[in-house]
Order: sequence, then C-alpha cells, then structure tokens
Amino acid sequence: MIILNVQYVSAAWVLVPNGSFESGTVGLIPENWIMVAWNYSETGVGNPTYIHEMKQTDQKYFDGSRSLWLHSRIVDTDGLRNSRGSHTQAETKDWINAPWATHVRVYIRDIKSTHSIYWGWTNSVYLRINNVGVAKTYYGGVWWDMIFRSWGDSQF
Amino acid sequence: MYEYSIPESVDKAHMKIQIACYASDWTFYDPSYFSDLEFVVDKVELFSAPPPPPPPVGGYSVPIKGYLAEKPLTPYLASITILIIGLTTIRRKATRKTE
Repeated sequence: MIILNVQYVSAAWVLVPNGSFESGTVGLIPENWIMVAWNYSETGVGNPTYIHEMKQTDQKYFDGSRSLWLHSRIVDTDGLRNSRGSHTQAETKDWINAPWATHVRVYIRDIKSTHSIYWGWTNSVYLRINNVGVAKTYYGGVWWDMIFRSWGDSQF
Repeated sequence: MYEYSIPESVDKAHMKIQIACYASDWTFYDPSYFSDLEFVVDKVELFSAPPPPPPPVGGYSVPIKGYLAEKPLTPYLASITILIIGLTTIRRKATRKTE
C-alpha cells in the first residue's frame, strides 16, 4: 500500500501552529503536493474576484503528518450574473507508478459550503486521476468522480 | 472516507492524484453575493484490493461431503444389543438354576 500522506514540510518553510491553520500564510504547500488553480467563465465577460487557497494544517485523526486545506471562492464584484467557477486543486507533484493499485481511498473532513442565498450555485469536490497516456483537455485524459456536491442542501 | 475503484482505462504507471475544490455560480443576483467552498484532506491511499470471488455459474449444487446425522443411532443400537444379550444370558442362567 502506498500512502500519499501530506508530509511535514522542509525546514525552510514556516510551520503553521497547531490547530491554527486558519491563520496560516497562503502558499505554504507541502513538498509532495502542488496547487493548480484556474478560473472559469462561460461567457468570458465579467471580472469577479476569485480566491484560491491551499494551506497545510495539522492532522486531526492521523498522527505523524500534515493535511491540506483547500478553499475556493468567487465574489461577484461586478454583478454581471455570469456563469463562473473558481477551481482550486491539490495535485501530487510527481507521477505515481503503481500498476498494482486497484482502488483509491480519500479521507476528507470539514466540508463547508457557504454561498449566496438564492439559487444558482453548485460547489463540488472532485477526485481525479490524471492519466498521462491520454491527451489532456479540459475534461479528457482524466478519470474523475464527484465526492461532494453542495446542491440539494438549500439551493431553492 | 471515500473509496473508489480505479478504472482499467487508467494508465497506472503514470498517475497523478488530484483533489479538486470547485466553487461555481450559474447566476448572481447581487454584487455582494459569493460562492465559497472549503475542506480538509487528511490522507490519500492507493491500495490493491483482493479480487472478488467468482460468481456462481448456475446448475445444481451437490455437496462433496456425505450426509452426517447430528445424533447417530449406531451407539444406541449397540448399547441396546449388548443389554439384551446380557439380560438373555442372565435369564437363561436363572432358568437353569430353578430347574
């Protein structure tokens, strides 16, 4: 079994105090993970504020390593009502060679989805496996599955 | 904890695990509105699960082992036989003495 733990960061990095990851500096990413972020606009019109954050935090239920905190936010500062998305992604830094692997298991907690009070939002958590053997497009070349979707809670 | 099987189409010799946090809005109604999502990833594991047992192919099922009674009669029959023989012998001896 390969465990892709979020390892303790190198000495050159500033460690986040125990239990206070919320106050950590943005950009403190453990060395075996990288952050990928992009913004999506269906119409290409509008200039809202996009926020992408990825921080390290202490593990709550597993000893000896760190966890990742991910955050995405869109603020409609222009009020143009366009369909837009803020995508923040944690991705393993190196390619993994595990031909024997049949399953992947993800431990996720503390999912919070704050949003506007009206309809028109869908926040999602995706698990993806990037496959280098297939041409990579926006959706292609990647096996993915949805872990969590916020709609249905109070969309209408 | 969420667990998924990896499809055969995935090239398992060249993989990158990705956890995506995607906040989206189809329509805003006010400049002050926002869409916001956050969560914590504790651990990601790759593992090899044992293959499931082969499904049954149908047809009749015949047990390999023979029928085994929970309370076999042989010991009881043997005990009764020995008891009858003993009683018969004793009765014969008693009959001879009286003659």
